[in-house]
Amino acid sequence: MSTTEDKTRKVKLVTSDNEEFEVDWEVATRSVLIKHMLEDIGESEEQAIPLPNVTANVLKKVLEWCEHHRKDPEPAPESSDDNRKRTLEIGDWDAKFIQVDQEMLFEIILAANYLDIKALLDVGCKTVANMIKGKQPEEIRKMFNIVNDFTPEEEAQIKKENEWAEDR
Amino acid sequence: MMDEKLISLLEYIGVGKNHSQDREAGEGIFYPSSKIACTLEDIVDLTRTLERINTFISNRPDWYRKCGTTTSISLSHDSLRASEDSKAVERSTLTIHALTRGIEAIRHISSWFETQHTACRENIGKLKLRAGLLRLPEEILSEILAYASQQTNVNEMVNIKNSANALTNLSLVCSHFRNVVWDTPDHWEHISSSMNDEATNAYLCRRGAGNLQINMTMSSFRGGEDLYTFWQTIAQKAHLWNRFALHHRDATVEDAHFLEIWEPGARDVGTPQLSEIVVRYPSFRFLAHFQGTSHIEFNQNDKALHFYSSWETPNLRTMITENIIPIPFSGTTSLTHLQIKLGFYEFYGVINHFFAALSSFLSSCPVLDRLTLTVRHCDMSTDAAHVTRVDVPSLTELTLLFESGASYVASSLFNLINSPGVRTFELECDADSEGRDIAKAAFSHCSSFPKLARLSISLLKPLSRFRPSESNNHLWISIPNLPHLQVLEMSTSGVILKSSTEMPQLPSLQSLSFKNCTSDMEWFKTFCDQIRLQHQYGSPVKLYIEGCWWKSSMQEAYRSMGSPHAIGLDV
Repeated sequence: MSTTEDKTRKVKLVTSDNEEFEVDWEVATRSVLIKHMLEDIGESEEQAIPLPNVTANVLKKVLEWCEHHRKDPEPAPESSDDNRKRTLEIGDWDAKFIQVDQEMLFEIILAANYLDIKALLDVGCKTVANMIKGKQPEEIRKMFNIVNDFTPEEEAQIKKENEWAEDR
Repeated sequence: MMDEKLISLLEYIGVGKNHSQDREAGEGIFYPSSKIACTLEDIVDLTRTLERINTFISNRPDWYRKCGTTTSISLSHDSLRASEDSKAVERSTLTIHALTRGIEAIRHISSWFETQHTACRENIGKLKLRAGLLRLPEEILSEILAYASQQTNVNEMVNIKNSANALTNLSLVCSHFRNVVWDTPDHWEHISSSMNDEATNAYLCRRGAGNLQINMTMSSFRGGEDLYTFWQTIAQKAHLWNRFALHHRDATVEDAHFLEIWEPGARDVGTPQLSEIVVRYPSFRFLAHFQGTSHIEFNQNDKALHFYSSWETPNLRTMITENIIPIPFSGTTSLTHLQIKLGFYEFYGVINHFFAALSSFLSSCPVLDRLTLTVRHCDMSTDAAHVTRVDVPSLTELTLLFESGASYVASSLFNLINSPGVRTFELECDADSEGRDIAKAAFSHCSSFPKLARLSISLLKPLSRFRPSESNNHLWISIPNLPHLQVLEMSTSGVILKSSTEMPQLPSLQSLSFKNCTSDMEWFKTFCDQIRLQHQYGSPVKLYIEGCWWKSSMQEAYRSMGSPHAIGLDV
């Protein structure tokens, strides 16, 4: 539970390339990792939080997302129906935010995973999933330049298992 | 600058050096061959030459015009001049040949460079994608593949089938994708009776322990033998079931017999982890059509229909039924969420027992928290007079949806269920005369919910094309005083609202929402005025308007009156 003091507090973050960012506590704590680190160091405001797995250009982008979503309610604990409610929908703002080059897209996903920002990780995963969804194996291989390393027998086995679901 | 980059690129890939690793070394890792490097070196040289050409031509922008064109003279006999002109023509013709060859060469070079450039860019895109994908931990790739295989069809059985096809496609990309898909237990939780034995066993094996979602449909069985084999397989794992769904909605008369065949073997199942039961039966008008009769007498107490009632389900939380009201059984003691959908049609068996069956079931649910009841196509009167009023004190969320008729059912329901703990009440009905009666009754009934914090009333435009348009489209409503109401949402289509009593006192209201209210704004403006006066000295009520043609004029009217705190309304 955050207090009024917390909300006015500033947090210093240091990236792997030694760039320092000073952000509001409310923005920084969208990251569960940073939140836990802040809880560990207590009241010492001057102490910067090192983020050795994130570069400055990626953190800048991640903080842009955190700033926009600073007022969002805390994510609910995972429930058993999470999987059933999974959709590929992305909010308008998030969809524009994630329109970045592919290199940055994967960097954001990795940073969101490291910083433990589930909602941002979801946006990244959904974006990549949208690129794959509905495509045939050959199209996906072509898209990512992946080699088909199956033997004909292995391929046949996978297809055989799915015979029940094929349209007849 | 460009030159430096190219030189450093050549040095980086080792042009001019004899590298031992200048071929493909290691599976899937790209190293440029010396041949490629030499060609790139030639391209760099060519580029330098082209750049020199560029400098050459940049210094001579009007070269031919300045040196080759003839000057103007007055025309008179001059054979010497004529001879010089003929020589100039010869020189210019040669120049044209040279320029034409140059143009062709440039075109060809440009085309080649464009083609290589495009291919190079495409490859960079692919490499970036692959590099990004290669860096992802397996749990994230698994999440991506889960999203990519997710289906959103309203028919659950179709979803399971489509999801299986999507997973197969993803598994066929490469062995890494297959391993990630196969090693993610969540992909394999839905076991369907449409599966063959091979698929069922593979799904059970990959899912491992716990949280199985069993989906059965009688229409997928071609005969009793298949049914028996599938049931034997999944019954052995009953201790792992988390959800059981019987989709019998699209069943035929023939399929209905399989239910009777199956039910005796499905008694007394122990399902300690089962948290949700879904039972969807067809509208029996559909069955009547097959049998060629006008209606079927439906026996609500038919044991086969209530197959679940002999099961041991100590952790049951949710029950969803379609075209049947469940009967009390041991599992209802832990039930918190009940959803019933009924399409009456000529469903005489149920309509006669509807209130008695509902009353009986609700009285067996001591911790029921949410009740959603959908009633469709009920245009005949029912008699609830003899049914005992049922107390459901634990209920906090009540959602009622009525489609096509049923005003008598609605008002009878309000009288039937006593649930003073309701904090959220949602009602959805048609915007016709029956619907208006339902809404009127619902508004009045709110006084029996003293803790009500959220009220949502929606009058929807009926879908039926055969309904006559109504000239009298008024709804006289009486909203009671609701001291704890925080959220009020209204969607009224073209219905004209009129207040039959004084405006209610809503001192706790925080949010007021009007959606798709297409009649004039008179009532809404009056209502807002009353509300804002109640909140003028406290927190302003947030007003949301969507799909109403008068949105702008109402917003402008209030904005011109002052700040939200001053007027008690935040638009």
